[in-house]
Amino acid sequence: MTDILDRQLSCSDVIAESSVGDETVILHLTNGTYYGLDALGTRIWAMIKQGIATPDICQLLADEFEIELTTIESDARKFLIDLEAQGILVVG
Amino acid sequence: MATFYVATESAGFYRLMQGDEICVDFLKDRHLEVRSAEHLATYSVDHFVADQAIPRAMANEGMFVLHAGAVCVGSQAILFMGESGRGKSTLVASFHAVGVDLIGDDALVVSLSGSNHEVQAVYPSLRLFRDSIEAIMHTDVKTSAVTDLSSKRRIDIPLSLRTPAAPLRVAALFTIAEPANDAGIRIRRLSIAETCMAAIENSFSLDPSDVTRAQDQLALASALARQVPAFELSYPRDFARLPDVRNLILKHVSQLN
Repeated sequence: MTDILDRQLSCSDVIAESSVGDETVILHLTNGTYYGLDALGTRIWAMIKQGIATPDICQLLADEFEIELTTIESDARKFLIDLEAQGILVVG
Repeated sequence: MATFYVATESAGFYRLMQGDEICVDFLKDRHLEVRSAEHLATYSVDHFVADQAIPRAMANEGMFVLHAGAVCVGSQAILFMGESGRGKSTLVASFHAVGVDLIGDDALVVSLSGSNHEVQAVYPSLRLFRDSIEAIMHTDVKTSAVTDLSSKRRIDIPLSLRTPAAPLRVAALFTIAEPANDAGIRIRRLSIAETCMAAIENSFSLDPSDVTRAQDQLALASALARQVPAFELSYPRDFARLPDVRNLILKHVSQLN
């Protein structure tokens, strides 16, 4: 199976979101569930909305936070898989 | 246990039911039609209408109605949210018993006025179980039954100058969590996102599947979370510790701008 970090990601069109400070609350309009993104999750979410390629997202975060790329990729992978499983992200 | 059933709007109206004993229809002209089984006590019907139907009707009108208790300290309101049984009413009652003005213990309307959020009770309620009444309230307090489905007693709150009528600025929100393992009293600042989701989780709604209303609720909760500081509170359920709990709450609130 292709790594999610190598896939094109886009935001689902059945969500509503609210920016709260440096965090985000997302409402899934179909199942009525709410999700909270912390500051890092919000950064990743914003970059996906901007259309930045997933591999570039991880590199940008690694540079910004001066963290090993492999660590960022591991955390981002879990985060993105979770968002896809919840129907918030569309992988295509 | 009583069950609720909400009909979708496709039926032309919403219906809220408690089993097959009470039925409240929310008609399009903002009219509520209430029907109940003949054997049911009036206070049980009143409770269902006042504490379940009306807050949901208000939420469906676009108001942000929190399931929370609140007291007034220094002309500002402190709100306490939490799941049923977490101790909101007991905590609010313990403030009231030492002379703090009660706002309510169940349904609160929160609204934005200028740059501040304000709160007003749907009505100034206070309902406690007998052990809380015996531990906290004065011996001559008057009580009445709330509903046949619960042993909670409704405390007779005389309307007086001590009962705030006008909306009050919200100083802080507290969510009441499970007691900590070490029986300590803990207060943790919540992030804005945590506050937003806690507010949504503890708000009334009539039709959770109504997408437009859900988006509105998200916007209202977000605005509240951005403006009002919120904390998670955990403490041992020991009446003797309530003074310490109150003091810590008041200390935290006094340190806010």
